[in-house]
Amino acid sequence: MTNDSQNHEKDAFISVAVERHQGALLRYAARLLHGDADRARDAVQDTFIRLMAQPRAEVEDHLVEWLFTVCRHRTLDFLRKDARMTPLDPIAAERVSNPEPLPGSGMERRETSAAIMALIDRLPRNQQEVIRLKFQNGFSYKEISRITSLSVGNVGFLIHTAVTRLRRELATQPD
Amino acid sequence: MSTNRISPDDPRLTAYALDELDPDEKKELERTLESQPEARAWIEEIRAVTNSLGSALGSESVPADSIRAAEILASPVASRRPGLLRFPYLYFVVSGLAAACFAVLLAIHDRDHAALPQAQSKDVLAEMNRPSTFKKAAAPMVSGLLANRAIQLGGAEFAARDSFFPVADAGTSTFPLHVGRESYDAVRRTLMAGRRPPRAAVQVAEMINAFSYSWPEPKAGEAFVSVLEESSAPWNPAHRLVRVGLRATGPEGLHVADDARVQVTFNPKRVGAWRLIGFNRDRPAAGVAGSAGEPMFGGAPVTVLYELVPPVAVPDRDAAPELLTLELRYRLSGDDSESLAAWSLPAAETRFADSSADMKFIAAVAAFGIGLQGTDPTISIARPTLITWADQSATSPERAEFLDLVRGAENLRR
Repeated sequence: MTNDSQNHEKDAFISVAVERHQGALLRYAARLLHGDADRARDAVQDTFIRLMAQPRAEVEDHLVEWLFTVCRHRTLDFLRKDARMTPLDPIAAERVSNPEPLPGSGMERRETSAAIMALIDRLPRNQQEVIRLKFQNGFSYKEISRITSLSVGNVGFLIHTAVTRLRRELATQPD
Repeated sequence: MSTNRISPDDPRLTAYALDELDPDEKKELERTLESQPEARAWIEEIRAVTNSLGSALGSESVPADSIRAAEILASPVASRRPGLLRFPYLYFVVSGLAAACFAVLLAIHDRDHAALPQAQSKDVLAEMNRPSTFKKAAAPMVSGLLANRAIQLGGAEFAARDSFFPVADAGTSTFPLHVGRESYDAVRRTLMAGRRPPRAAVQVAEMINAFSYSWPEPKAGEAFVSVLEESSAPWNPAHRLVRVGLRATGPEGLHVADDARVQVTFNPKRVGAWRLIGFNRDRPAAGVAGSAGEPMFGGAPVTVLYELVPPVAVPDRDAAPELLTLELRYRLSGDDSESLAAWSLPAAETRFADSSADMKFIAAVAAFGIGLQGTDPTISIARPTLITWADQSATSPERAEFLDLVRGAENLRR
């Protein structure tokens, strides 16, 4: 194969990756960055630029996992820079200790998702992150372990803890 | 044995429900579960919670696209293709545009391979990258085309997921009256060999149509029968799942009608957005009305699945009761005048659990196929749950075989 056609293929590969994965990456990065959409965009853009520098064959069979891993590193860089100036993440602690009132009784089915989202919002941030990677992005425990640098056992523990808590909270909610 | 008892805090319970245990761990846990019914009940509850989690998180909004491929391709990257580029910036932009334009062309001009002039293709790309202008006139068409087609570029295959169309932008839909079953045959062979089928080989619409479903008795003089059924969507209980089946009556293989065209019209008071599931590759126009007419033959049925999102506003009391109407226009063989057959589906609040065996089976096939594609996390159902649905509706040898495929579909090699 000629270099030209290889390059063309690589560009097409990048274009399709940008088109297909930016939404999920922007959503993930914005969560980690406490809703800062501008920096989420920077992190995701950096991620794709790094993808350009990567030989395609090395990333192709685990592309989405690779994108999330790199994107997570970029967002943590941003958070680390912040931490030098302000204590890291006071919002998370506040959320856990000062929960909003539970959604009211007589929920219609349509509102179930909203109720679950409200419960998820009250979980510790590390549990929220693995829960999203699992149930929103469909990664396996092993993939989540590689993205977050947690052990597989630790990922399993966080997900189980979150699911158990949600199970109990949903069971105690009036129907 | 008391030493083997499982505590509710054991992470293996969730790992088991999510099918995340190694085969050995799984066997060991299953042995313990035999003597501990309460732990089996916990797993069921965990499964229910994880399904709800998948639905809730899957429908969480995705930020609008704000990054353009051309920007990325135009960024200076030191390690990129050394010694090759004479006009790097221009090269990146043009090739990026060409690639994106190629994707659009591929989708729009199915059979027509003529190239658009570059100026025009830039506009197409600009449109593609600007979500706000996307909503205008041709937008549902273009976005639907892009979303409903696997874009095959650079030797790699990417099966895009099926997109939702707001009813405000696209109030009608059509679908092909002939759907093959070749994809299911290929998927079946690959799975039986212990391998995961390539994404592009998995055509969910063809998988659904590889099985037979039950049909009502045709009334005297009617050339067509239809099946319309709705229930909650099992992957998102806030959404509705509708199956639409259509079949020409008359002896098998008899040429019944020509120029047959189908149109589904959604009631905007009861449907906010819709998507046609499983046509992400074959039929770019499947999402939008106006396809060419097709001949119809006796005994050749078609079944499709729609997922509907309720409107934001609760329907008022005097809103028309139907969720959608199905219209079929056709000319009977040897007759020049056009005929119209129409059916409507009234809104009901049927739960998926109470839906028909056919509905459960179709949902299982769709969710399994989409899981194999791995491109749509909003339809993510744990394999044990799929097995339950397929098991409840395994009423024929073909279906029993499908159930075996789902059961065997772990530890697949790519």
